[in-house]
Amino acid sequence: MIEKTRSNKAWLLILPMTLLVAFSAIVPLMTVVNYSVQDILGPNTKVYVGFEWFRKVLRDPELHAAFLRQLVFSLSVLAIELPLGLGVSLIMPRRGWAVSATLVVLALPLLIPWNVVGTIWQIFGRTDIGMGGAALVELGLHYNYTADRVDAWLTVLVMDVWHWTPLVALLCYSGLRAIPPAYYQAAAIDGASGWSVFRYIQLPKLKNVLVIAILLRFMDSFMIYTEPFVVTGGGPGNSTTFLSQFLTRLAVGQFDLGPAAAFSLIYFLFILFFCYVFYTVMNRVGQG
Amino acid sequence: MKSRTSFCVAAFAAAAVLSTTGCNKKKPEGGAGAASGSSAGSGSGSAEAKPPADRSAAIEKWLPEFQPSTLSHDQQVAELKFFQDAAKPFVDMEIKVVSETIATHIYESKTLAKAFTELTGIKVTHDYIQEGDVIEKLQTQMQSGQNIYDMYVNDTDLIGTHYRYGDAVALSDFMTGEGKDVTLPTLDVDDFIGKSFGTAPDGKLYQLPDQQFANLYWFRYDWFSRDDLKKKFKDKFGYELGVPVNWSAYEDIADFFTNTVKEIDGKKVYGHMDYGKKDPSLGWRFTDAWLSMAGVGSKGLPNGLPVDEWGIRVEDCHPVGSSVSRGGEANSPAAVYSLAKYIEWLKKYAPPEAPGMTFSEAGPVPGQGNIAQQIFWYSAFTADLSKPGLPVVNEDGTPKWRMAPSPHGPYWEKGMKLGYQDAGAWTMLNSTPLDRRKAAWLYAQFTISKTVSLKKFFTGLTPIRKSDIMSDAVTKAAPKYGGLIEFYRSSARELWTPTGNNVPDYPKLAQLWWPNVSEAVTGALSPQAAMDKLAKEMDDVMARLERAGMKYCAPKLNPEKPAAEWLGKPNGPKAKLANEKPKGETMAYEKLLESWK
Repeated sequence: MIEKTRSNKAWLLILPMTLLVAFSAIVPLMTVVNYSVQDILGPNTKVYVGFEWFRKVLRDPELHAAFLRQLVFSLSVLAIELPLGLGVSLIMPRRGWAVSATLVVLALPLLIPWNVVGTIWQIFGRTDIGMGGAALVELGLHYNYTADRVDAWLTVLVMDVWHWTPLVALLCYSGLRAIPPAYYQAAAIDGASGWSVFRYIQLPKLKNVLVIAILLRFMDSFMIYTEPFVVTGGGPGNSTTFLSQFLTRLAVGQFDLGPAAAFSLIYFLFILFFCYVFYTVMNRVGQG
Repeated sequence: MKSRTSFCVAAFAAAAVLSTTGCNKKKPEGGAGAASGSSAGSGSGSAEAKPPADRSAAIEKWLPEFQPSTLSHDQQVAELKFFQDAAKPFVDMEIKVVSETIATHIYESKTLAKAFTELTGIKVTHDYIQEGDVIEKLQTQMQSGQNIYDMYVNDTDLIGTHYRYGDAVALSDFMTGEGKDVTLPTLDVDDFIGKSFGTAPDGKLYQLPDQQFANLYWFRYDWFSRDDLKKKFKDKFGYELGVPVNWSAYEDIADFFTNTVKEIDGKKVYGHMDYGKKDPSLGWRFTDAWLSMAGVGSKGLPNGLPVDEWGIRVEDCHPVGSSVSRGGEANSPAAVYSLAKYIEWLKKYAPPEAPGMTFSEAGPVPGQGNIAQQIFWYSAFTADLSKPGLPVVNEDGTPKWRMAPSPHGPYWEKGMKLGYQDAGAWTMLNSTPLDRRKAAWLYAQFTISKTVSLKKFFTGLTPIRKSDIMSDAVTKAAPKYGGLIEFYRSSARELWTPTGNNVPDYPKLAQLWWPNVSEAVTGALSPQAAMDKLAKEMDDVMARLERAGMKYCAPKLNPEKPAAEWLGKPNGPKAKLANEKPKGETMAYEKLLESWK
């Protein structure tokens, strides 16, 4: 019997990655933690403030409102994009040139830079020069996303649906294509209806794909910044101001590093918590 | 995999931003290479080629570019020769400076930087980026102590900030001290019309203007001169259609064009133009002297003392509060009135798209030919609105519009400032190594020297020198500029000034304005509630500055007292007027020009 030799040299193999992660994640994170307990006004003007910024952030009514707004937005995004994406994937062609054509068309919004997406919708929604906005006004609707909170909210939501539903559709499509034909053949032999095929074959087989889609869309929509910033700037009022805009204003606009650091840590923990909850729930649903 | 990446993005994108300022140690030989000026509307100019060895030829090569000039040929040669001689210790040094993106700075970046490199051998990269990005770079250097740019063209709105933090070099000391050997003998600081803007309470000059433009009243002179419209206006309002002297007249004229005239030559017209998108530029709409136009603040130039146009009260150079309860005026009746009028006019008289526009989107709109007047118009747009072929330009190239002093609100009194003047000024930070500061100072002086300043004025229409404004070349060109020259030649221009010394931390305080204004625009908050919130937030920031301490004149907040103890008292915030809409007053444009002579 060959005796295994123990060698700690193997640890050296993961050293580069450890260093990389330290520089890209741990050091910045610790810097943020350090800043979050100080009031920093200059290189030589710092005051230790303990948990003052955390208390302030957690008690700020504007942030409570932004958090609620963010949550509603993310849940709305999931409620629309998931069934829509799934539906689109189900009707997508399975063979021939139409497959390539559909994939290219669907992928187009995903290829457009986020700030350009914002600019497109900013112009599209305008009632004077935008095709969408002008059309709505012509139909007799009092649409003005620059002045009306509901219109602004809906514009941002529709823009996100346009931008990201293709991602869900493509993910689901790849999941559907991975289902072995034998399942469909068995269902056909049993005379299963289309609904039964979807309910008992396609949906269970798409579970992992849907978990990824939900996590991706939740996290991305929870961190949304560029598109609403370009389209509405967070307005009118605060109607489309999401958490990331508060953070940007504090950290970049005001250079208010202490409160911004505390806020970014809380923001990070929120996302971590929600993703954990989603992941756990989805796994249990799958197992159950 | 992407999900993990996204986790990281959530926390570490912010962390990365914040960590850029993580090191506080000064770098003795900091380089300028860390900065990058890549953002929308940005660029840079530098001379890549090796400078010619025979630099005396460069003088003759570049002199034709610097015409016209208030200097004679020999005087120009002498100035350029000085730069060549003074630059000898710094030949081949690479320096980096930055400014905002306007025509003047683009000219500096693309032409003057190249000329300076060929003349002196100092390699200059002059980046131009958005104003907000300039402040961000400056803040980063101030917070980290690491050299990012060797000099900044930074608005003198930050004079109170620079002075109090002690991070900026006092140029007046530098010019007579360690920078004496690199200071142009013919710089003539007293020739600068904006010298007082860059002067701190200690009497020292910290920022020297490189370009200036004012915030003026803009109107369609051709429409205002039409007899049919004049008669119609007089019939309705009982006084002449002309340049409004007060806000009542402005409002009447706005109402007249939007709701009575409605169309001119078959095209819908509006009596007012503005912008209201929730955006940092919405803050400029207010911090750039809007409140002083309404009448917020005390008498005093360039800024009111003890209370300035931000409503910040100063006692013995220490800011003591902005709330009325502390003696400030940010939530006073005059301040609330100014916000209420802005919102009312935006909604009632401006095009329906205006509330969704930013500063830069709204700027060119008057040039489309359907705006009758604009109370808050930056003269930086002069060149853009003078382009041949525009609906607002005559066939002979002269403008159909004019600019004039802005009207004032009912709270305004003689002796107060009346408008805003943007003064982008050369600013040097202590954290830049001395040799780099010297080289950059040479370039800075070159861009504002009498040799090039008049040519630069014609390029960007941002005058800085009295000698240029009064020159024959400018007299000859005046008719093309719709009143710009007349304004700058008049003593009226002294009432147009930037943010002043009362503001202890411009970046932190300025960012508080636009979110609050935006909430008032939608009606989520009343103008009073929005200004109350703003005043409290400004006081909170000043309390933090007081706690942390500043190098000079840190805030010392007054204890809060009932508003009644301050309102209407001498040097206190103004009490509410019984009548905020007195009778409108106007003045014929020609009479106005006469009064300026």
